[in-house]
Amino acid sequence: MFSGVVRSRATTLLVVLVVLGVAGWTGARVGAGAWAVLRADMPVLTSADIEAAAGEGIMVGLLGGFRAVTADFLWVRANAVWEEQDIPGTQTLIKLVTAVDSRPLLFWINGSRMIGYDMPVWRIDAAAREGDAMPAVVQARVYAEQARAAISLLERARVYHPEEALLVIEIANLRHRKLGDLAGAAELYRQAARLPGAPYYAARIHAEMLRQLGRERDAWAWLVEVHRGLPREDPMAMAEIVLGRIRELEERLHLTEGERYAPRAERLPVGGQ
Amino acid sequence: MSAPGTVSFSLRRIGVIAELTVLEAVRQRLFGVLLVLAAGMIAGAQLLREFNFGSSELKFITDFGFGAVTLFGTILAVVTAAQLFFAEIENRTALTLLAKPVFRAEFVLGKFAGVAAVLALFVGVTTGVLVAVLWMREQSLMASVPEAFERGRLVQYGSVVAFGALQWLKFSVIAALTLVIAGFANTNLYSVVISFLVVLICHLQYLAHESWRRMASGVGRTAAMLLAAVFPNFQMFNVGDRVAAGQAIDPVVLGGSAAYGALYLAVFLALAVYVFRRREI
Amino acid sequence: MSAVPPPAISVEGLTKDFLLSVRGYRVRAVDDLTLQVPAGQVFGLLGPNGSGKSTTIKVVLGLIEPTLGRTAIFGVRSAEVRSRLNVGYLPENPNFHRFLSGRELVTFYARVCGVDRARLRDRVDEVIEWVGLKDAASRRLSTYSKGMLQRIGLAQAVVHDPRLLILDEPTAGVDPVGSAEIGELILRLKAQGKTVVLSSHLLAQVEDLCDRIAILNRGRLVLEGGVDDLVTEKGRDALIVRGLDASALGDLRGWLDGRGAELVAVEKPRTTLDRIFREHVAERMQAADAPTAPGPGTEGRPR
Ligand SMILES: Nc1ncnc2c1ncn2[C@@H]1O[C@H](COP(=O)(O)OP(=O)(O)O)[C@@H](O)[C@H]1O
Ligand SMILES: [Mg+2]
Repeated sequence: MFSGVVRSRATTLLVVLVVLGVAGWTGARVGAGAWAVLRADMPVLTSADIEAAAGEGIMVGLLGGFRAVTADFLWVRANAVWEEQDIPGTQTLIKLVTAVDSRPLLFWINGSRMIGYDMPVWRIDAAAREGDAMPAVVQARVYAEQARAAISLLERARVYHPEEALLVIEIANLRHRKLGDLAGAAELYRQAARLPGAPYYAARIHAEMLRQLGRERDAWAWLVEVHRGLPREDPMAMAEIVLGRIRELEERLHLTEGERYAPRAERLPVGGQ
Repeated sequence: MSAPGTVSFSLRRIGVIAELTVLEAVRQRLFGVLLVLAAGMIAGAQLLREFNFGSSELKFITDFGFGAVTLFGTILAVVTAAQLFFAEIENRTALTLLAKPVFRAEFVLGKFAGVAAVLALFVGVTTGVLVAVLWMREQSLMASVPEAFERGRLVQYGSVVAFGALQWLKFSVIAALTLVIAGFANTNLYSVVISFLVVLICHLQYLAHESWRRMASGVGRTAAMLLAAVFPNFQMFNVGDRVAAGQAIDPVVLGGSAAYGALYLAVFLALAVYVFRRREI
Repeated sequence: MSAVPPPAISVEGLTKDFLLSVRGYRVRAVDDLTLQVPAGQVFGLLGPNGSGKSTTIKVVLGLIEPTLGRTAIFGVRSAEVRSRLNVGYLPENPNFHRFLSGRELVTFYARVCGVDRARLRDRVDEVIEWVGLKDAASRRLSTYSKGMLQRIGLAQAVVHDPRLLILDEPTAGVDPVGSAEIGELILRLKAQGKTVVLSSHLLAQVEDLCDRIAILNRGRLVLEGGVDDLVTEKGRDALIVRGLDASALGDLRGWLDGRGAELVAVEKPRTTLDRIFREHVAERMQAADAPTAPGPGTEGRPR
């Protein structure tokens, strides 16, 4: 039988702590493989992020394993201030959301659209409302400024997602539509089309841009190469349309029968058609 | 069955005690929480439609659903474990029960099994509601934005269910941990507060683990080292973000986390029994 | 098996200290107590509040550890779970699971005690009927009165048919009618050959029930013995006579003197207030069979 002294809570607590220590040592080995994967998934917190998070009172959410939900909440808030055309508010929240959770592309892409496409309009409208309508030159400068800000956000996204075609396409669109840089956009579309999991349309748009740049021969060669790699059975690949474009370009380039592209399926006639 | 005049440890008695514990939880309306939460999840999913997130809406529904399950499950685990334990101590019903041929271990394990059953019901219902909401929303999104579903469905339903199962394991570990603390504590409130504090520390344990080596020697370093050594790492169960992003849970992660959870469940249950056996009730 | 069967309860040199603070302040609840409860008797553990009765009972039941000394039930050390196979216990101020009905509570304890599944229902109904709660069996315990709680507590204590019953203040807070009924049940248990230990701080109340008593004060044994031995005054006899007038009393006195005996006192016999109240209530109930009158018969009826 234990005497009253030995039975004290302190002894019990000590035993508990020792057992937990042994369990911790064992657990670290049992869970090592899983933890390596999970830890690599967790975005690194910089001190700037922590400062911003502390200011927003979301520290517990961040540290308590509610990172994704915290980011989602902030994103919903970003959308709310966006509806009110609040430029500084929207900018701050986009920065915060992407710092809290850099993984979802949605935050980067939609954030860049808010900055690149919506904010210049808000600025111009606001100036007009204050009876201070901007001349076209100034408007163009506003558009360019916002587009560059959006692109720099997307460049930051690329640090976290270097292989993501959608980010490159988003940058290309801004260059093309807001900065009027068709050649730069075309090059970015080419890069995007070569990334794993890129949407099929990236390659088609690259060809279309080459055509607009007057490089029809290059466009034809590109499409031929693309068409060779397209799966015939996937309707989203639109192999028929690509082939149609190739034929159009061949007409315009006046290619001879021998020079024309002959896809494999056409060389082997299918019975019955 | 034991011979006359002897008593052996009995799973049947644990089952009887667990049954009573579940009945208490049901009759004390601890499940009100559950209904409110399930309704809240459905309502919340409707609110998200206001923003045109397109197919990303599924990520949001999954994130919020997982967040709600994790948060409320943790609260439920601590509160029911402490509440159902102290109801027996404070009303002195534990005295009546332990004056029967019942081992203290059977009492603790019976209480735990009852709480674990309540938690299983909670996770089952909430995960079920989440799967249903996701399925219906995905169905309608597939009709309205088909281009986002080029490669088939986006939600990994198997992984959503696996997430639920892993969270149940985590809640069970939390309930067992609360029983250890309740074994030391004199009041319900005290054990609830301390348990929440410990659960929070367990979520931050990995930071202590990663930092103590880098710290300058001193009190801080020793404290970080002890924290890292003694507390389990609850981020081991944090597998939901990938699932919400439409990826399946890596089998290595699933297996490793489950093994880790099972280890700590066994350890905390053994400790809960140990502490309760030494407790003056 | 030894030739002499072990006593129902044996307490040897029991001391129990409660630690009041981490600094080591203690209170001694039981102080070097030694006593034995023989089998087949009703044993009263008496003493004022705080004298260590409940603490002694808890140590005997293995609910708390002794600081010093040893206790056993039918020869089995209290530390062993099997010592509780043959014990039914009604705690002081029982506070059962309020969310259960009376029948559910008794069923729960019956299952915990391993009552045969086949006999479970019958046995539960039997003991509920025995304590007179048949009509209230499906009501939640939260609606039970104090007396009903004590009786359902008695039902759960006897459900597995133990040889020993330990009842801690079974009549505390219960009205005289209810107390009398509980006393009745205790006597019936004795008639069945059970050993009953009951504690009380009301010495007079248990006098009629107990064969043997021990009186504790501040954790120490003050007095122990058979009730008859303790309360009868040796060398004195009381006569209760009807229709004796003053002259006859003088004659009697002379007659006694002639035999060397002395008439010490002439008094009117007194009944106890308890008894008057019980008889009065019983009369009224019989006369009116009134459903509003207090008592177990009406207590149990659903509203
Ligand atoms: N758990 C406890 N902690 C501290 N003191 C206690 C505890 N239980 C009983 N005591 C003290 O022990 C003494 C005896 O109590 P108890 O056995 O309940 O007396 P009784 O049942 O005769 O009224 C009292 O002074 C009481 O205050
Ligand atoms: Mg008492």
